[in-house]
Amino acid sequence: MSAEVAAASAAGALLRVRNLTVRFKGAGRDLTAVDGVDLELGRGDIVGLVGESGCGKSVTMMALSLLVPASSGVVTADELSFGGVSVLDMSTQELRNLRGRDLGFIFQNPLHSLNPLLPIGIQISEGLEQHMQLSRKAATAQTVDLLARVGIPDPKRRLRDLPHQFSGGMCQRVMIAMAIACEPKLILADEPTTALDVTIQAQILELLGSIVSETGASIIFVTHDLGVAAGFCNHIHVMYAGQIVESAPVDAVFYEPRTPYTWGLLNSVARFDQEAPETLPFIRGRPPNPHEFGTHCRFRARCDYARQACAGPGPDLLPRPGRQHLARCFGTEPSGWLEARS
Amino acid sequence: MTGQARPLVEVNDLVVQYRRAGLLPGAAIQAVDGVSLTIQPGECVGLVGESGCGKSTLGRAILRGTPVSSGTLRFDGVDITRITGRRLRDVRRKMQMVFQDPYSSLNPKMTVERIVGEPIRTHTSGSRREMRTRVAEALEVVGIDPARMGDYPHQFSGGQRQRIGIARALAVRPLFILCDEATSALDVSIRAQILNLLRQLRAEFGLTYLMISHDLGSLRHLCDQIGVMYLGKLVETGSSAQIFGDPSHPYTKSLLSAMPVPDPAVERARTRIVLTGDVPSPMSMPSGCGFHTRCWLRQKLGSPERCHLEAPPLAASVAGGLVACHFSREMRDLKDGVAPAPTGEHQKRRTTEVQEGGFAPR
Repeated sequence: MSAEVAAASAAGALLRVRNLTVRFKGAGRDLTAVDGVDLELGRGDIVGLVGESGCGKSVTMMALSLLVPASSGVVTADELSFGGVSVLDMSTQELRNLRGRDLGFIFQNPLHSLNPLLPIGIQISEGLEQHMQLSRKAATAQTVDLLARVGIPDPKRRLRDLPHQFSGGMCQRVMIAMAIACEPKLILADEPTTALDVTIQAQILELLGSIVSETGASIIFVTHDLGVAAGFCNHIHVMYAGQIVESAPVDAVFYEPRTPYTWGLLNSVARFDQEAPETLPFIRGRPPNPHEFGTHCRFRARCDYARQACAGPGPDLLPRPGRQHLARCFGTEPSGWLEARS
Repeated sequence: MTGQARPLVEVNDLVVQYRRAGLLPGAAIQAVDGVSLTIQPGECVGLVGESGCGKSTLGRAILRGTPVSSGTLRFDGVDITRITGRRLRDVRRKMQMVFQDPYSSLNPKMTVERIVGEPIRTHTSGSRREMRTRVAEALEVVGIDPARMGDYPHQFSGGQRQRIGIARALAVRPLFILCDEATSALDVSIRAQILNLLRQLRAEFGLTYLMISHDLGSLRHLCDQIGVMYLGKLVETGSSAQIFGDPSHPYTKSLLSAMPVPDPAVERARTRIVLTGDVPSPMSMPSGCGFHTRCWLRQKLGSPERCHLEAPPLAASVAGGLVACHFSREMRDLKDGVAPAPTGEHQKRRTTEVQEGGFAPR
């Protein structure tokens, strides 16, 4: 990164994370679920966290807002700042304000994340009263506007409806209305469309995209669907076994991947718009469990290109040619033995 | 779905109705509404559609897992619509099922030997030793070490569990396997392994599959024929290449256009047909064509009356399949503004190992 770009992004950085680590107390020993994650987000950025189940994507999201319960997990970071203010030093009240006002959350299963016994109108206006100091009346009026904005027909009449009276897609719209109610600067979306049909997924992604362009909010978007990431995100972090293994603008990740894991992931997708080879390329084996991580490259056991060097202390996430491209692989380092041809 | 030799599965005008239980039964809901479908031996047929379109109900009805309201089911030439008892059990041995979630479809308190052995015990008589041999064979085939027969499901990863689920289906040497979202819950790298396995088993044992999935990529990879369902009806059928390359129904077209592709350039170039609203509730079925309330083509054509007055029959399409739409010809003539199925101008990714001693040229 040039000094100029670095300065510009430092000035505009909304979220800066350095060396974020989450440890859970396991039986006998501590397990590191997230290991040294660095993130930086500017305004209006849509950043994807991509990886397979258990790679630490969701835990990273929870850790960003310190939502990992202190009883089971420990979050540490060299830096975790939001709008220039360190989140790690915040008091409980400040944290609550941060989570309520500046962050919006959208989770995978809207039916599980809404209170089933509370009308949706109250669930949305609650935050408005609490964090925007609106009167009940003003909050209700605002709620109607929000519901209309996320495309719920006849919003006024639906304020008193309970979550189960909405379809999955409509519930996710309610979640989004709740997430954007206090005009957050950052939306944390954890697999927001995974539980939905593709047609509804397209609607929700379109809605999220329009919210970003209208409000200038940034999004961290967790997904395991590479297609969704390709269409929606402008920068992608690929996670594997608790670490970011590759980080690059979206085109670079898809057309010039610099780790065998990303290559393997992209090649193993069966696409409906292409004739696939008789046997699909696949990654052998399975992702390691946290207690098997070790200090060497965590993908080594599944990698077709691993060499002796890979058994040594693990590769670091280092720059590659191209803008903002980082990769964690000895093979594709300048002195390495791998090249990607496109 | 085309008439050739004797089909293995023949579904004729099948209707499955659900009725609310209790003192005040509501109106019947047509979960499957007059579906006809033929599967030839060795063929793989895929069913797609949004949740609630009746694809799983249709699958289960074929296995006689849910009561049929009307219509007929024939399996291997025999009418199985109403058979019971011993005859039904005999037929069921020949049809097995692989489920979606490898975590909840295996009993956590049973060893793998008991899980895979259960269908063998149900359907055949034989000694414990014979059963163990067959369990070992089935595990071997799906790539699980038979030495781990005594282990419990939690000791296996998700992909391995799905292999165990497949071994259970294979253990009684069925002719027909229903895969209901069998690869949907798996991660991409594991999904490719399972897709390859299903394909290899089909070649090896001449199996016939009905694959239910919302993952169009998996279906294209495995299936010869595809059926698209909407509100309990088949709205389009055709060969895999035709459905994915040249869809004839506006619903199929919007489904394809909504399906994300892992290729940023293709994604940017696409025009999505975003369907408005949700699937109508089967309790208040729209009149005429079931899709007319969300149909973009109808809007484009100025909302012709025919769409909400008359239900279109499933008839031959220009593309070579069957389609249930009054205006599918008009759709083919529309060139403007309609998203074409994205063509794969995908850049090939290749990994090359640089020759010993040489550095990677950049």
